[in-house]
Formats: sequence, structure tokens, C-alpha cells
Amino acid sequence: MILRLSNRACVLSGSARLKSTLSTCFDEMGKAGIILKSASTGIFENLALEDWIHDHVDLQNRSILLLWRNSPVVVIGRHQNPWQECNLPMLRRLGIPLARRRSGGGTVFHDFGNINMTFFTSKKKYDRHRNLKVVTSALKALKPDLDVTATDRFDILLNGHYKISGTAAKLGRTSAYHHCTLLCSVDRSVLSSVLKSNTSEVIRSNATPSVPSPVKNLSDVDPTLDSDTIMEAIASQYNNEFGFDSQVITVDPAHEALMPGIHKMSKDIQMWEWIYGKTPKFSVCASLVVDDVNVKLDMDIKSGIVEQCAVEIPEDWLPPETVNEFTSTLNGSKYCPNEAAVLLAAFVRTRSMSAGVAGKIQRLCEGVLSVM
Amino acid sequence: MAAMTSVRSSLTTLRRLVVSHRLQQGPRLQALGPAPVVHISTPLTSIHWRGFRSSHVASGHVLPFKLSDIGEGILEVTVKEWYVKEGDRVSQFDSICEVQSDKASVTIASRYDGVIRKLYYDVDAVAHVGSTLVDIETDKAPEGDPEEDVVETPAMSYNHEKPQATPAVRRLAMENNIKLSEVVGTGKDGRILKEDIISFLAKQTGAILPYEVQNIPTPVISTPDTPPKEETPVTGPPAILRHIFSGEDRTAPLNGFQKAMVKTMSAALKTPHFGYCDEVDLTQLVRLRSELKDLAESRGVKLSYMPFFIKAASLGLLQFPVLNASVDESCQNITFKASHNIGLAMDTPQGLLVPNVKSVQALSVFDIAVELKRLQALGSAGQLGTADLTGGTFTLSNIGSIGGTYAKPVILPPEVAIGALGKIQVLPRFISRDEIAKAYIMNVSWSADHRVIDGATMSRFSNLWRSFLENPAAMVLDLK
Repeated sequence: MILRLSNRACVLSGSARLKSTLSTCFDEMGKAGIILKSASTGIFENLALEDWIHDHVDLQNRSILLLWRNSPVVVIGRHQNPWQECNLPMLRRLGIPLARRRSGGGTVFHDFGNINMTFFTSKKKYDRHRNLKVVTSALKALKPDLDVTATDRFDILLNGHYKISGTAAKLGRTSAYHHCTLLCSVDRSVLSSVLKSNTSEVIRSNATPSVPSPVKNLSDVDPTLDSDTIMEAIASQYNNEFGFDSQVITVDPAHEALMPGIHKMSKDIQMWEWIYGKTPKFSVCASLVVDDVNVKLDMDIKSGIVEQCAVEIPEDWLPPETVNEFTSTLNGSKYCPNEAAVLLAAFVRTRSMSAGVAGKIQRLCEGVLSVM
Repeated sequence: MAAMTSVRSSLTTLRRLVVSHRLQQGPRLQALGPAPVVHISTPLTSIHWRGFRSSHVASGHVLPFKLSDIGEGILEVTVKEWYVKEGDRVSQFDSICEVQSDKASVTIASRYDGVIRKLYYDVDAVAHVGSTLVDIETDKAPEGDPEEDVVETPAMSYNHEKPQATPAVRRLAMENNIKLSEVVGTGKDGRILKEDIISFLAKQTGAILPYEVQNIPTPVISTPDTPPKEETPVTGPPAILRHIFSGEDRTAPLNGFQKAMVKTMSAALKTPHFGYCDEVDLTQLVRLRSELKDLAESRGVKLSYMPFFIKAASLGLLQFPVLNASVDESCQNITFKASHNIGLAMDTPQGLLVPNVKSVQALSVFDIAVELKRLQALGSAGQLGTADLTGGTFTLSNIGSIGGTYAKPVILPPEVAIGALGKIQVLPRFISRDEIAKAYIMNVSWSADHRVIDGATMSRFSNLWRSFLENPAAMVLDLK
């Protein structure tokens, strides 16, 4: 199937004005339901694939199920605050990327032991309960005595208590998608440590908070339930539930000719201005101890940029003019430890100060950077 | 009456030409743009018409745009982000705002073309399904006769009205000396688009591929045999190539990294720099490094030349501590720094960063290589902290790894010296009076603060540094 799609791409890749080629392939297939599987495990490519299908494929008379998995990543909802939701210093140390999706909802951790499912429909056919029924029925078909139920908050609970799936959705003008996760064999120790913020107490914001729940893997109750088995079961249950007869078609999100514009979509969601800059307005109010001195830090951050920065320091420890210059260096910069470090280093270089003061400023910098 | 009919029919046939959208709507038309003075002459009447700019009294129709049903029995949503503000112009299907309900994020798109007049909710406010989100003032009168029989413009020459086009399209036309009134607009309501300008130009010049020039006579290579000044028939001067330049200037504020560089380099201006350049024969060092490479790799570190350059600099600074010093603002005191914290100019995805290796005087070449590896990893991951970025006393820039021979580096305050290393080239050099051999040559360009460093000091330091690198065995004598 992928070969046929590639040939099509060669023929149609001439002009950008022609209708998007993956979309045309779907039209040619003429099926009411299509099941896709992503060939990529990169979060940004997969999120771009979701957006591309949502924007370019006609979903009025057609529904699509997309199955995808990612290498370790933390994904926050559209209107969430990453500083509140996860341990950013730990993510940076472990080299786990952070992504912000376009749908609402809470923060999740993905790795290869997690399956993502996206149900694309027209707005009229948008029905999250029915989609979750596909998942629970598929699991029960594999193991009939499995106690999995969907709640009215659109979670799926195992044994009535452990959350194994969370949901989020995005509605556009004429179409919608509903996606959810499914914990098959995720690394739970990494999950619990990265999803615990190190600075949530100092943050005041109206961003959508996540609701933490106890989690469990399906493989904990039955080791035969691995990701591939479950994906197959979900695909066939999708066909059953909606009366479709689609095979599972593999799609490569890196294939720009087949999906014009997808590469740019993938780049756009990797930008700092999207991942961090889209955080709703919040303020940070922290008490630090630097050199046995109490320092109070107050910052207002809007669109990821520090709008107001105030530091309360005893006057005998550092002269007020130096402190003022310190805070004005941070004003207008990104709330990002790397950028703040570079700006503060330039401040220390260019402002003539004694070695003692320079040392204090440097330790103060480290204190401030620790909350970013 | 007959004249009126002819004017009306000319209007319909010339519908595509530039006729002001506003004028089509009759005398009560209000303009949303600058006030035009329109001179309309028809065979029957001669009317002066002045359009008024509307302020608060909306003359188009203000339509409330209500929050439609989201589905699944949802009655209320939270407004999370506005994409427009009051006064913005929107087209149908443009995104207006983002609302959230129960884990679903919904993008609300405009139903009308027009101007946003009022936003009914703030961010984080709760909106009920069915309530009004925004007021949009539409330009068009919804229905009704265009009232063509009162005022008619016989297109073209009597029309002094500006044709509709965006500022970018206007500039493109101006740059190519095109009158907008002569271009056929294919956009909505006869609006002129960029493609219209381009196709107008293509028709004018007849050249579509700018580099296709006909009949240029090939130059005759004059040899002693051919007669000079051969007259080849010249078919006239080549056509003037109309390059369609459609670029636009783009202004963006400086980002944090750029601001840091501005601050540092502006401060560096205060230092009077002098430059001193030399060349170093690295043949023996190249040999040494290739011998040690595998040993270092077995210890987990890729050995480059930088650790040698850095260690040699530190050995040199022991003899010339004035190069590892700092002058205070008023130039009254000079502080000789004890620690050799040698900075590395690093090219990262974010820009120029200069972390430093602390206390090089106490480190071996291998230790320095380990530190470099750590700093490079942090630098490319964007995780360098203030500890690594501050406290430098002397800097080396290995610009030669990218390219270049000689440079004029800028001293990073509060230091007093910096060295830029060019690329290593393989060049022939005389090894004795008559023999030439292959040599690995690298150029170094030093800059120093002439208030406290003189040329002789810099020269002697450079010679010492060079001697360590040209004869690495000499470094063994000074190992600590």
C-alpha cells in the first residue's frame, strides 16, 4: 500500500496547487473508514501528522483511526504550564524532549510501551464514548476477564482504580479529533519522576492543571498484552464497531511530497515560542537561600517572557544599584535558564565589580536559574 | 437614458477592471479607508462626492457572532486565548479564539468577513453556548439593489480612485514602475494580487526565464593568426532583464543571545586593541596527536588539538602573568588573576557562547580534553550555566575549525588578551637552505589591551607558546 502511495506522490508532486496527495489517495480508495499507523516514533512528526490530517483531509464522509507510538517524551496540553506540570531540570538531564500538543487536557509521558490512538471524524460524528468503547471492547476481546471501564471523564480505569488511558480532543470548524493514550508497558518509575514538578509551589497560574492518578500497565496484569497485539486488536475492533473494512496502512510523516507542508508543521511545533511561549500568564514567587541570606524572588511571565522581575535582598549583602541592574537584565528575556545564564554572564563581564560581589552575583544567578 | 444604459453595460463588461468597491454601492457609501475625493463625470451629471471615514457610528452591519453548539451536551466553555483584538480585520474562516471544555480544545473560526468591533469575554472567562463571542462589522450591505442608476463611473480614465491592493503589492508595482490602474485584478472584488503584477510584467517584457538572452555574439579569442577586430554581426543590445524582486524587509527584535553579545562587544570597544599575528609549525604536534589519539579514545575522550593549545597558553601565562590580568574601570589598578580560566569561543545553535575551563594551570592535557567534552555537550544541548560562562581570564577562539587564516578577535571584558587560531594548512617550508618539506602550518592572531600590554610582551608570549607547540617535548620539562 505504501508503495502505491509513493508512486502516486511521484505523479502528483508537480504543482502545489493540486489537492494534497494523501487526501487524494483516500478519495481514490473510496472507503468510509481508514486505519493508519505511523512509521515514525518522533513526537513532533507524529503531532504534525495529526494536524495535517485534521487540516487537509475531508472528514465529512470518512473517519480515520491513527495508531502511533513515540520514543520517550513528555507531552503537555494546549493551555498548560510546563513548569507546573513536570520536572524540567530532570527532563533536560535525561535528554527527554518536551512537546505541546494542540488539543486540551493534561500532561502525559510517552515511551514505546504506550500506544496513542487518534480518532478523526466530522464534527457531527464526534463521539468520545463510542471511541473509548472500541478500546475497552478490543481489550476485553483479548482477555475477557479484564476489568477495564471508561469513566465520564473519558479516562479508562483498570480494576476500577488504576488509570491506563487519558483523553484529549481538538475541534475545528468542520472536523474533530479525539486522541487517547494506553499504558501497555511504560517505564513507570521514569513516568512518576518526570511528571512531578520541582517548582509547582512557587507558581501561581490559571493554566489547566493535570489531575494526577495512580497508574498501572496492562502488561502488569497479563504479560501477553504487548503493544503490537493490542494495536491489532484495536484496529479490528474499530472496523467492527463502525462497520468498516480497512487494513492497517503505514504512513511515513517525513514524506513531504505526499503531505505538502507537513515538514513546516513539524518545525513550527518545535519552536520555543510554541512549547514554552504559549504558556498562559503566570507568576513565580520563590524564597531562596543564597550564602545563608534570604532572597525573595518575584517574577511575572507572559508568553514565556519575563515581564516583571523583582528581587528582595538585604542591602548589606549586595548594593541596591547592582541588584536593580541584575533584575533589569532579566526583564524582557525568555524564562529559560540557558538564555538567562548567557545574559547574566554578559552582565557580570561588563559591569565592573569586585571579586567578592562577582561571586555573590554568580551564586544569586544560580539560585534564580534553579526555578526556571 | 440611453447614455445611462451604455454606462451600465460598460460597467458590467469591465467588471474586472479596477473600479472602487466602495463606489459600486451608491452615494450613501461610507469608506473605511482614507477619505477620497472622487470626481465622477457621467454624460448626464457631474457630481463631487466625498466619502466620510466612519468612527463609532458603524455604517456596515454589526453582526453578533455567537458561540455555536460544540456537541456532546456541552453548555459552557472557558475562553483560553484570543487570536484577534478589537479593530482587527478578519476574513471568513480566520481563527478568532481558542476555547476549552472538558479536555477538548476548540478553535472558533469567523463566519463573516469584517472588522472585530467588540470582544465579549476575557481570557479565562466562562462563555455559555449560544452567547455572543464577538461583534463583527461586515463591509457589505447584506441585500438590496446596488442603486446603479444614480451614480455610474465609466471605468478607467475618469476613475481617480485607488485600486484595491495590499501595501506589499503596491510596493511591488512601484518597484517595477507599474500603474495599478492598468493591471487587471483577479482577487475578490477586483483586488490586485501579487500574481497579477507578475503576469502583467511577463506579458510586457515577453521574458519569462530571466537568463534567456538571444544572440549574444561569442567573444573571438584573438590569436596571432586571426585578423584583429573581427566584425561579428551584433543583433542589438540584449534585452534588459526585468528581475522581479518581491522580497520584503523584515524587522525583528533582538533575542536574548544577541542582546548579550551586543552588551559584551559594546563594552569591548572601550579597550584599545592591538593585533599581533604569527604562524606556528605544528608538524611535530600532528605526529604526537596521532600517536596519542587511540590512547585517549580508550579512556573515552576524543583528543583534538585544542587541549594542547590551551595547556601551552597556560604554561605561557605562568611566565607572563600580565596577560592573565584584569584592569579596573578607572584604570588605576591591575589585578593579576591566580587561576588560568581559559575561555573557549563555542559556536552553538543559539549563537556565540564562551564557557571557560577553570584552573588550567592545575590540569593535564587529558583533563582539559575531558572538560572540553563536558562543555561541548552542555553547549550543544543549550544547558551551559553561569558557573561555566563566568570567571574567564583569557580566551582562545578556534575559528579555524570552520575556516580562515588570520583574524582580528575582540577581547572579551574584563580580560586583556585573546587569541584566534586559523585553520591548519599543509604547506611547503624550507627545512634547510635547499630542502623543502611538507609542514602543517597554522596562523594565530592575538589581540591585547594596549593600555597594559605592550607589543614586546605579546611577542615574547607568542614565541613561548609557539615553542611549546612546535616542540611538544619541551612541555614535558614544565609539567607540574
